[in-house]
Amino acid sequence: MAELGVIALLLGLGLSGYAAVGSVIGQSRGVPELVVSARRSLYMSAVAAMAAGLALLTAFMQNDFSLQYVYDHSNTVLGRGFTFVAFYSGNQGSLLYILMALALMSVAAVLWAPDRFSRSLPYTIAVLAGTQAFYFLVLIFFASPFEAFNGPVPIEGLGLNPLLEHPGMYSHPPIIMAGLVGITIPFAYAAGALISGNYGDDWVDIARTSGIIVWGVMGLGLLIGAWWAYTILGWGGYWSWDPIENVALMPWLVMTAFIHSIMVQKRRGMFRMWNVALLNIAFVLAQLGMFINRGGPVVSVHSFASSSLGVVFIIFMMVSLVFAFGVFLWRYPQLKSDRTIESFLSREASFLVNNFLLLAVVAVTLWGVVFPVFSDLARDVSVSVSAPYFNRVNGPLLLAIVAIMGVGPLLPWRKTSTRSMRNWFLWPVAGGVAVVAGLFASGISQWVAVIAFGIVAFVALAIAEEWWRGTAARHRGGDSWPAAYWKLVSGNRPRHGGYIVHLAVLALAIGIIGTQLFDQRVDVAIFPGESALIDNYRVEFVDVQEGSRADRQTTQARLNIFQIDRSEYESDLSGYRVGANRFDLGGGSYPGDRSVGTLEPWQAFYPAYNQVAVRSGIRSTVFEDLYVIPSNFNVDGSIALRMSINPLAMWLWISGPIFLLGTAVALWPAPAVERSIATVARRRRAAAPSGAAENALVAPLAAGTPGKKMI
Amino acid sequence: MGVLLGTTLVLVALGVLVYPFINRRGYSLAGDPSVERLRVARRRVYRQIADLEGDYQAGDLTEPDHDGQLRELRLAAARIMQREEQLGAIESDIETLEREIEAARRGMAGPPEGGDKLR
Repeated sequence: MAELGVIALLLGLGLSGYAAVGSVIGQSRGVPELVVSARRSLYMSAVAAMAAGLALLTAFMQNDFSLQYVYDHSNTVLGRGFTFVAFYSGNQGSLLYILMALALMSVAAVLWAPDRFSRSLPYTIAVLAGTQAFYFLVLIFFASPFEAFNGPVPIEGLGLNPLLEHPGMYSHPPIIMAGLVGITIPFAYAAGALISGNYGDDWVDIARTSGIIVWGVMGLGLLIGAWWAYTILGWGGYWSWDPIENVALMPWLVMTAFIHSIMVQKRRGMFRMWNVALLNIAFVLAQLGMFINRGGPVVSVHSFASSSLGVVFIIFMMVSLVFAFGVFLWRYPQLKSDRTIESFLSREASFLVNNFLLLAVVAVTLWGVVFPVFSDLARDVSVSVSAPYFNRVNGPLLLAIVAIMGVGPLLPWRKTSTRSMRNWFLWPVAGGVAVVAGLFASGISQWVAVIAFGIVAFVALAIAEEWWRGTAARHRGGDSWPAAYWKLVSGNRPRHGGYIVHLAVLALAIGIIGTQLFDQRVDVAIFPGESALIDNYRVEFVDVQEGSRADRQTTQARLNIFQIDRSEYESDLSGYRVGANRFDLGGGSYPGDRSVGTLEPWQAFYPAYNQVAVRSGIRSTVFEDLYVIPSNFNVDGSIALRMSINPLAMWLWISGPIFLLGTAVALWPAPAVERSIATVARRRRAAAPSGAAENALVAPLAAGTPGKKMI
Repeated sequence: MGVLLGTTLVLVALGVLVYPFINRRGYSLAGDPSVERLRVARRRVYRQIADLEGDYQAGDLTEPDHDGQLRELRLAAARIMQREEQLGAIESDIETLEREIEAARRGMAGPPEGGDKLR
C-alpha cells in the first residue's frame, strides 16, 4: 500500500496547487468553470490526503516494516489500540495527520461558507490550498512516511515511544495539532475577503465561529496536555513553560484576544484592522510552533517529533508572514473603522485592554522562547529561560486578565455613568474585599494568593450579578426562575457562553493559585514497613512487585495511605520515629490514623528505547492531591519517594468540562431574528387582535418595553 | 494493488476536474452580493437592538443611554431598509398590503376541495 500513499501525495500536491492557482485565475479572469473545477480540486486533494493516511494506517496494521517509519514507531507486540498513536508519533506521520486535518477542515470551511461570501471564496480556497500544497510538498520531498527501509526487511520494529502508550495520547497531541493548523481557516476567510476587496463584515460571522471552534479545540488540547503531564509523565507538575508548550499557548492566547475583539466588530463595527492583525499574528505564531516543533533551534523536552526540517518550516513561516501582512498593508486604508471608542469606561475599551494584556503575555512568552537563540548569537552561549521568569512576568499579567474578565461584563457598550458604575460594581467589589479580609483573618499570609482569591471572588460575583439581574428581570415578566434563566442564556448565547468559559478560567485560576503557592514537597527514602509523612498523610511502603512484558520491565510499589492527626506524630510518644519524616510503626498505628486507600506507582524500563517511564500515584480530592512519585527503587530494598501535596489541583481539571460547555453555548446558533419577530408578532396578534397593525418588525425589538416602536 | 488504487484515484480526480469544462451547466460567478449583505446588516442591527433591550432589562444601561442607542439603531435599520427597498430586495408597505389583501381574497373564495368549510 506504500505505492498508494506515494501516488496520493503526488496527486494531492498537484490538486492543491491547481486549486490555489485555478481559483484565483478563474475568479479574476471571470471563468466560472475554472473556479468550480478548482473548488472540486480542493475537495479531491482532501480525498488524496485521506488515501495517503489510509495507506500508512494499513502499513501499521500489517506491521509492514519495509517502511522505515513503521519500523521506527511500531512493533508486533504493540496493542492494536495504539496504532493511531503510532501513526502520528513521529515527524512524518504527524505531518500527514496535520495535512489530513487541514484538508478536512478546508472542505468543511468551503462548504460552510455562506452565499454572500462567494465572491471572496475563491481567494480563501487559494490560501487553504496553498497551505495544503506546502504540507504535501514537505511529505513528498523532506519527510515521507513511505520511505523504504534501508536494508533487508526486519521482522520486528523498534516500537512506540513508551511515554505515548497511554489512552491520553489519543487526544492531547492530535487535538493540539488540529487546533494549530485549524487557525488557517479563520485566517483564510479574512485573507480571502481582503484580497477580493470585500471590506465589509461578511467574513466576521464565519471567522468568529471557526475561530471559536479552533480556539476551543486548542484550549481543550492544552488542558488535556497539562492533565497528561500531571498524571502520566510523573514529574509532579502540569505546566513547565517548555518551548513546545509555549508555542501552542501563544496562538491560543492570540485567538482568545480575537474571539473577544471580533465581538466588538460584530456589535459596533470597530476593530476591523485589529482583528485582521490578530488573525495574521495567530497564523504566523502557529507556523512558528510548527517550526520549533520540527527541528527549530530551541531545545525542548518534547523531542519525539523533532527533526531537521527547521529550514523548510522557517521559510514557510517567513512566506506566511510576508503574505499575511502584505495583504493587510495593501488593504489597510479600507479597513479603518467608522467609529471610535467613546469612553474608557465601556465594554469595547475593556476588550481592548484585555487584548493588550493577552498580547503582552504572548510577547513575554515569545521572548522567553527565542531568548536562547539570541543569547547564542550574541554571546555564543545558549541561555535557556526557565519557569521562574515566566511565572514572575506572566503571573501578574494573567491575574490582571482575570480581573478584566470581571470588569468587562459589568460595563455597557459605548459609555457609562458614575452612578451606574457604582451600582454594578458594589456587590462584586464588596464580595472580593470580604474574601480578602476573611483569608487574612484566617491566617493566610501569602498576600499574592489572598489578592488572587479576592479577584476570583470579584469575577465570580460579577458573573453571578449579571445572571441574577437578567434572570430577575425576566422572572418579573412572568417566567419561572428556570425558564427566565434559560431565556436569558439562549437570548444572547455568545455572551453567556463566554461567561461560562470565564467560570472555567476561574476554576483554572483556583487550581493554579493552590498548586503554585501552597504546594508542599518531601523527598524521603523508606524501607518496606516504614512510613513517610507529608502534611496530614502517612504513606506506608508495603512491598514491591516486579513484572515483565515483551517490551518492558516494570517495578511497582504498593503504598498504603492514611490520613493522620499530625500532632500525634510530632509528639511521638511511642518512639516510632526513625528519621526526618520517617516512622516505623511495626504494622501499628496512632489512634488518629484513618486508612484512605492504596497507591501503586511504578517505573518501567524499555530496553529498545533505553528509557525509563514513571507513573505516579495520585489521591485526589477537591481540596488537595497527594502526589507520590517513585524516584528510585534502591538496591538495598528501600524506595526513594518524592511526595507532594498539591492543593486545589482538581480544580484544574474541573475547568475542562465547564470550558467545553461554555464554548458549546457560545457556538450554539442564535435563532434567526426574523423568525423570532414573526413568532412574537403572531403571539401579539393572537392576544390582542385590535393591535395587529403594529409593525411586525418592531414587536420583538420592543419586547419588554411595551409601547415603544422601532421606526 | 496500491498502484491500481492510486491510478484509479488519479483518474477519478482528473474526471472531477475536467467535468465542469465538459458539462457547462450555466456556471456563473457570484454576482454583486449587496442585497444579501444588506439583509445580513439589517439582521445584525436587529440583533443589536435585541441585545440592547436585554442589557436594559438587566439594568446594565441607564434609560438615557438606552434611548440614545436605540434611536441610533432604529435609524441604522431604517437606512438599511430604505436601501433594500431601492434595490427591490424587500417589498414596500403598499406591496405588503396588496399581497395581504390578495391572500385574504383567495381565502374568502372558499376552501380548496376536500378542505374545511369556512365558518
